[in-house]
Amino acid sequence: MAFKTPADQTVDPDFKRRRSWVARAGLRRPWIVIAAIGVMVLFVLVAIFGPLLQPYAHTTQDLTALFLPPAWADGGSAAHLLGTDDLGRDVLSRLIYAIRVSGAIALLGAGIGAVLGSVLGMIAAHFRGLLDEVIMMFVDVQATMPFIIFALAVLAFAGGSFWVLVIVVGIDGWERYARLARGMVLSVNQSPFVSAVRAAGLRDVPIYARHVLPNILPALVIQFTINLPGTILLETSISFLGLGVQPPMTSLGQMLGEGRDYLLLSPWIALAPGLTIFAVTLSVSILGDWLRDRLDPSLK
Amino acid sequence: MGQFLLVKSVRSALSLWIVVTFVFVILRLSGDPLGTLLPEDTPPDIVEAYRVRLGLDHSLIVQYGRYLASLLQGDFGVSFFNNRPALDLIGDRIGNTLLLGGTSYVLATFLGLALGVVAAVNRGGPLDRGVMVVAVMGYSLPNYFLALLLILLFTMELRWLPPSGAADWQSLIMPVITLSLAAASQIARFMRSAILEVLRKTYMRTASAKGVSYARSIAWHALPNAAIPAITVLGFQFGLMIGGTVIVETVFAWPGVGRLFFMSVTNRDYAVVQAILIMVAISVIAVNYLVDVLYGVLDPRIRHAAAGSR
Repeated sequence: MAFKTPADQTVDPDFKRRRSWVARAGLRRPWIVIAAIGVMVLFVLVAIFGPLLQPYAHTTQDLTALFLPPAWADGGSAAHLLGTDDLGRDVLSRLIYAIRVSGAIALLGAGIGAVLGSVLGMIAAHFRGLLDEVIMMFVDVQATMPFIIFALAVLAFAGGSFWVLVIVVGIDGWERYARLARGMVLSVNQSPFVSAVRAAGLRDVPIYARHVLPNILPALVIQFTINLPGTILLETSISFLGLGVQPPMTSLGQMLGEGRDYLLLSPWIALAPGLTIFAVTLSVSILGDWLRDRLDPSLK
Repeated sequence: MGQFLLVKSVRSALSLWIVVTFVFVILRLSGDPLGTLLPEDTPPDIVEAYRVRLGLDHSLIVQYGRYLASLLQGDFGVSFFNNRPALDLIGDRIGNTLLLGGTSYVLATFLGLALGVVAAVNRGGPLDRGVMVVAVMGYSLPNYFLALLLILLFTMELRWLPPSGAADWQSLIMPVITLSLAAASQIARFMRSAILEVLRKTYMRTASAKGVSYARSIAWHALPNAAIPAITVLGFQFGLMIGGTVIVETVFAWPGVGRLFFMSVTNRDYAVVQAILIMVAISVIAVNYLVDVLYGVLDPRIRHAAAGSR
């Protein structure tokens, strides 16, 4: 809708260096990016070395130490740094385990969505015509529907196992990759180098793999970082409602959902996973924005 | 305009058909409904009798045809749990959901528009920065966690507000805050960039050259020209808010359709889940249709482009 004339661009001297909303918020000063990187590195390390860091197994119950507050609070114990829950399970150990589960679901799910959407978008752009219309129709439907309620229905009837959850959160967001990939493939296909390799007799699949994909990959990576916080929030929302992974497995949302019942007397059970989710989504948003600036030459 | 409306209507009808089919697929293919409806030790002949009674003995194609036919007749089935028509159960609770959702939607709209305009006008200043910090936080703070934090503060520490239920107007406060914060922050972000986009236009410079005051040029020139992005984000928020009501109504035990949906999903109450999914689909598609029509009314270029190609 924006019909930009050269005159428009002269009105505002910093038209070309429009900054994103995270930058606007002053959230891209170096120390904030470094803090966000620090948080992410911490979580990645926790996810990788989780079993070594867990003081206890996430299912170990200590019925002599129910509802123990965190170590720094009155009555806390150094044996349970973040306290214990209603079954005397160590909150820190459960948190570490939950970070691994939630992280795995979010990354695998976001990956499925990225691959599925990008492939469908490329197919739409390559074949055009009716197939394009049909794929874009599904894109529109997916984009408008509140996906979480369909996800809840699927999980309730199919059962909330790890892989079902991965696939369900993976389906969310595929349409953005499809739209993006379709638009970019359409424009890359017009460019001279693609005409050249096509004229040189290269087949479609190698053209897409070797010439088109590398050109659109940076934008897809940026889209991945935009989608990731949403994927994390979807998984934790579903698990919070109890329809995600089932006990004895646990995830951040599920811990929070369980902790909800003890909010009055033992708020740490809910606060530990809640603050973790907040820290992760905030850090991913900040880092994604920073990465976007580095990978997207049009913003420079 | 007639052709434009026709194109949009056909697309909406096709979208609805896709969703309705998707609902059939997920509900019929993800397990045997009789397994959840009947106790495990039910004699096989009774299971069979139920199978025939519910029409589950036919092929999937026949079931699909009957499903479409009954939906077209407005028959959404009967709840397994209390034997009432699914639509009646929704009807009992829709008022509460409209109250909660409507209040939140209006609040989020006004707050979002106001903050977005304030941020854009004070671009780069402390107000802009403050608004955007709130917007980033609002997006990253999951609504279920915000709900718990509000309960901790207002119910447990200050003892001002009831934690759940729908007894009086005070019960509405925390659910509305929870539901509207994320929406308001997204609307604010969107409006801010929309207004900034308009402020760059040459007609804004012309307005100021003519001697139109800044406040008047914002109100009379910038805001109407930001209407299209505003409608886009408001239409988009409608769907998101429906998703949000399920969580918010569940956490605050608000007796609305969102909570009914959550309970029906956990009870695997087939007919009710199906009815709510289809009602949601109809309302979301209707709102999107309205948004599309408004685009066309506001901007003739969109109207002609859409009637022309796809």
